[in-house]
Amino acid sequence: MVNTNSALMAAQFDFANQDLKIARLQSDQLKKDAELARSRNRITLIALGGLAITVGLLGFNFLSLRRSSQQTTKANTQLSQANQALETALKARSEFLATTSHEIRTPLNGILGVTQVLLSDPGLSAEVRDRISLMNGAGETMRAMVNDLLDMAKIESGTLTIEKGETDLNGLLDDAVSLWTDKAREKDLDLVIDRSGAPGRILEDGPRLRQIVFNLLSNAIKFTDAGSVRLSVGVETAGIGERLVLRVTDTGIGIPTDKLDAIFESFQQVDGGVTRRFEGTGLGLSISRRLAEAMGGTLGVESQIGEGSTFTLILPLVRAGAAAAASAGASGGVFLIIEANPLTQSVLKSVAAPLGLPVETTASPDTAAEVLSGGYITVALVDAAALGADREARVAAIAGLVAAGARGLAVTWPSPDPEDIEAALAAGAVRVIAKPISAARLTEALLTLLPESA
Amino acid sequence: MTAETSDVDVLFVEDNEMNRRVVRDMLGIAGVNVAEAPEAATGLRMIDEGDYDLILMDLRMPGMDGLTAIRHIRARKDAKANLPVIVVTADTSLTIREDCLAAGADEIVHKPVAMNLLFDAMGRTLTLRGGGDEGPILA
Repeated sequence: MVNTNSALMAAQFDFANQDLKIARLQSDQLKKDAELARSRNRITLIALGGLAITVGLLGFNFLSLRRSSQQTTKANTQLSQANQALETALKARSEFLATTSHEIRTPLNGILGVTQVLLSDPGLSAEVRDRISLMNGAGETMRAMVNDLLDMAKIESGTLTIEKGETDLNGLLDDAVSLWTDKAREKDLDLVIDRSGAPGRILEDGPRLRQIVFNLLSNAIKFTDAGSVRLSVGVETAGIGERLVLRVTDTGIGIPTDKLDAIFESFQQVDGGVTRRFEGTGLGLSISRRLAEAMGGTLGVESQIGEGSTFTLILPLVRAGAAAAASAGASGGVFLIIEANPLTQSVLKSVAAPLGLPVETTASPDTAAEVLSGGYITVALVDAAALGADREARVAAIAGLVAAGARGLAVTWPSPDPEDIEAALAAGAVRVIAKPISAARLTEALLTLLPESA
Repeated sequence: MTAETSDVDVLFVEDNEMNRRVVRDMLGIAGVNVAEAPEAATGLRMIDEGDYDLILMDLRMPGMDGLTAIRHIRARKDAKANLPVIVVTADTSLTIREDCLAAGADEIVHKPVAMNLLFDAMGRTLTLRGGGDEGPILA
């Protein structure tokens, strides 16, 4: 009965096999499930990992954004602190410049005060006069430097003001001629002023314009050893308006190309070394350019080493009242005051002001002769006391003045007799005005002397 | 020296001896009579007691300053309130001109003093302010 046992065992074995198969299948299935679960986990992990990285990255970015924004804020703060420090330093420099220039003025008053008083003494020997002139000149240079420092302080602290008013451009050019002709002659240079294109009266800040023109002429003459300095004034049309164009051209040493901008900076000089040939604070051009800009214009330069330089000042041009121009043209001529006492001269200038004529002054009848020979004097005023002690001397002096070219000669005479008046008129005086007389009456009397307009 | 200027009496109020000397010498050339006061209070007293044609006033002085002194002059109830006053100063601040004119000064002359400018200012002021409507008498 082996068969039954074996059949049973076979069946049990089969059964066991089946179980095994089922178990294996189940385990396969489980494995598969596990695989699936594992791969799902993997994906989840990867996803989570990715998320974590993203979050990490975001966090990192956020942190570094915050850090760089902190750095930016810090940089901004530092920048504004630096600006503050710079402003304080500039203000301190401006105040220092202003204070220094103020402090220097007082002793300078002592020096220039005395030299001016000494120079007004006609009895000085030529040698002594020369020496005192030298001292006076040096003092005047210091005064100019002190004024430059003050201007620079005003410019840098933004407190420079431009005041436009009726300006006699021709008068300004006349002054330029008279001031610089002598200096040019000393260096044997030709000074040429071409004013053919110049407008007469303009609306501009006269003193500042004068400052610029004088600075340019001063430099031109300073830096030119031979040849000429030429100042030309003209008008150009630019779009709607007109422009005043002023050029100073010299045949001087010229400016190196790489220094053409630097010369307009404060305290810069082309030759900044210890053995500078040319004196000065180095402020002139920088002030001139800033003034030009404050006046609405420009100041530029062209130059060739060894050949010379041309400085060009361009300003907006506003012509001043037509009425003023007409009256100045109509009367024409110049009023000459012959008077030695400077205070009396000044009083007479004020008395003559209502005539509307430009006024010149000269100390005595002798010095008047030279002025009169120019032929442009329309009216002249002199006091009898300056002409001589008695009628004879005075009449002779009057004749002399008339011979020298005095038309319209008015003579003030202290308490004149009728014979005095007759003799004076016969000698060629146009009017004899009795003294004492008040300023107002004197003005009236002078007004009657004006030539009728043609 | 002509007759007119030796009749002009100027009072100069200035604390610095050197500056007084300079202006004294300059005015000497014009032949005017110069009186001096070393500080404002003395100057005001001298105006009370004396008879001046023109005042030259420094600004920075110990005690009363120049502008205050000018205000006192202009605040007077008599004819001396119209005395011509010229400020002579080394002060070059931006508003100095306005401040002086507002206090009642007629003109300003800056130190260092340019003699011609001082005389110009004096001549103008004497002609315009001095002697009533007719102006000063030229003798």
